[in-house]
Amino acid sequence: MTGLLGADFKKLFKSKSLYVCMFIAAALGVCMSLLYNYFWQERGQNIALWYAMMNQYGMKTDMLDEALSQIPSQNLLSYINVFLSDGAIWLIGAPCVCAYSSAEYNAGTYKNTVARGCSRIKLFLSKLAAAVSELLIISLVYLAAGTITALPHIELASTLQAGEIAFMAVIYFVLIIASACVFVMLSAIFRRSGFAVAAAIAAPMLIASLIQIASLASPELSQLSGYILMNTFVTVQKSVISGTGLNELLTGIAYIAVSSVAGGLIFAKREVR
Amino acid sequence: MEYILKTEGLTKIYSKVRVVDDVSICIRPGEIYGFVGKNGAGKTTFIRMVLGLASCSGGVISCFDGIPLGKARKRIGSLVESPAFYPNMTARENIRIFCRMIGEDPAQADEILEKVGLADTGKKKAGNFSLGMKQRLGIGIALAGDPEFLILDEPVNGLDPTGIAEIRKLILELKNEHGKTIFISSHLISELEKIATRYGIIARGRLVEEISAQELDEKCRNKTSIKTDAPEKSADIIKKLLSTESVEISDDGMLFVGEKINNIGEVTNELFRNGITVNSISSTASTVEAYFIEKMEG
Repeated sequence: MTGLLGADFKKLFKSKSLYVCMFIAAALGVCMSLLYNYFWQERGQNIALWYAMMNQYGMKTDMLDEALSQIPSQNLLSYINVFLSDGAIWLIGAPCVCAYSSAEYNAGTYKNTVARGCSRIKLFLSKLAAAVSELLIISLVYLAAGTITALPHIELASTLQAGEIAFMAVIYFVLIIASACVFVMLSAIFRRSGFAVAAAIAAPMLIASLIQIASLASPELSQLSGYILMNTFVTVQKSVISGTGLNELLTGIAYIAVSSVAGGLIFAKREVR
Repeated sequence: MEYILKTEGLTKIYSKVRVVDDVSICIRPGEIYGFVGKNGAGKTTFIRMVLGLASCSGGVISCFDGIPLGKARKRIGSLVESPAFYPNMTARENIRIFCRMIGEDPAQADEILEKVGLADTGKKKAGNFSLGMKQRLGIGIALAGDPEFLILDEPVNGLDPTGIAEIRKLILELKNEHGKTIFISSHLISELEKIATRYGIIARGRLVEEISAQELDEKCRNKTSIKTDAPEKSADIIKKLLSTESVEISDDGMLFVGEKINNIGEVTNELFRNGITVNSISSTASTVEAYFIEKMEG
């Protein structure tokens, strides 16, 4: 297994797609940080305008006060949450991880190792480990680029406790691993990077649309959209603050379990081309 | 060791079509087994089943006197269909990484590259190799870990005559100097003829015939066929006259003398002297290629 892991990590760090995606992640992080700062500044001006207008017309500002109090302040943790939940990790990660995991199918190199008696499960798990590492690297690059760019504009202090921050970090970590597992499973199903990327990007949107349509008939079904993996990134901070972060954590763990097992079984049973 | 590979009734069915149909072969240590068949005959599918790349619809595969297949496959090197490698890596890196993956010492990469004639490729990425170089790299990967048994599916595809000769020399060297057993599937009968010790002919998924190189040679040798009105008496006379035992009588009474007769006149005169009428006499010869084609078409 160590030989397989060493080889897969070597292939990962020799692949051009990793460095291209890291560059894109860094560039996007910088851009998004500037954009978020601009919107935050503009929001501040808009809030001032809203208050002025409400006062002019003698309206009460209680509801506005309450709504505004729910919005986190412009601090480091808020920015990190925004970066992790804006979907960029999914959009950059899907092509990168799918390209890496599908490369062996494209090149046909699995037949060399499988024909030599290598365990298919070990081959799959080794690839999974490397793919998870790849997505973690890309996520960290995106996060680092964005937060470093934002540092001149934000306060470092947060209203959250250290335990809550740690819990949030764990949840995000699990969700990123779950995302990588889904991408590798899709690569095992489609065995072509293009199809796997398309499925990874289109599937959450398609499922969300289907849930919305279904909820027209049965409104309680709308809650299911909270279990779409891409959506769980958005609700992490709010859930942790409200004490329900366990839902997101369990959702991530479930995705890891199901996609790893499904992907492993598919890889083990299908013919190797 | 009694056998390196044995299959019994190996069958593969795709959508109700039997692409490999009840194939039973036995390859003994030290053989070079030539697997011959037309395109689509089932050669590659057979190989894929033996190597575990495809499941079997029926039959049994056993290797190295019946050890577990997982362990057996660690002792088998293979090149199936087209060579598979990482295009963004050099030849050396490809072999080293493959060695690492199968738990072998990557240091053997240089020796393998030397054997397959890729020692001078340096930093050139495998994706930029010519077809022949890619084929050599595929063979090199098959040699990683010094396997006892090699399964090569069309190993000389895309090679020029010099390359073909070098691979042929390599295969013979692997057999004679390193005691390897080799299974080669190929269309190039002329090349197989130079190295194979035994042949399996497959047509439409079925094993038509297994024949040793020696038997094949005897069957394709120049022969003389004679039709007389007294086949058995004629056979005795010819055996005595030519001092040969190689005279066969077919079901329809045709005599086949297993060699070319240079002095036909002497034979016909002797038969006439013994009151035998000769109805026809002709000389036949079959090339190995013609023999295989006839079997593959059949």
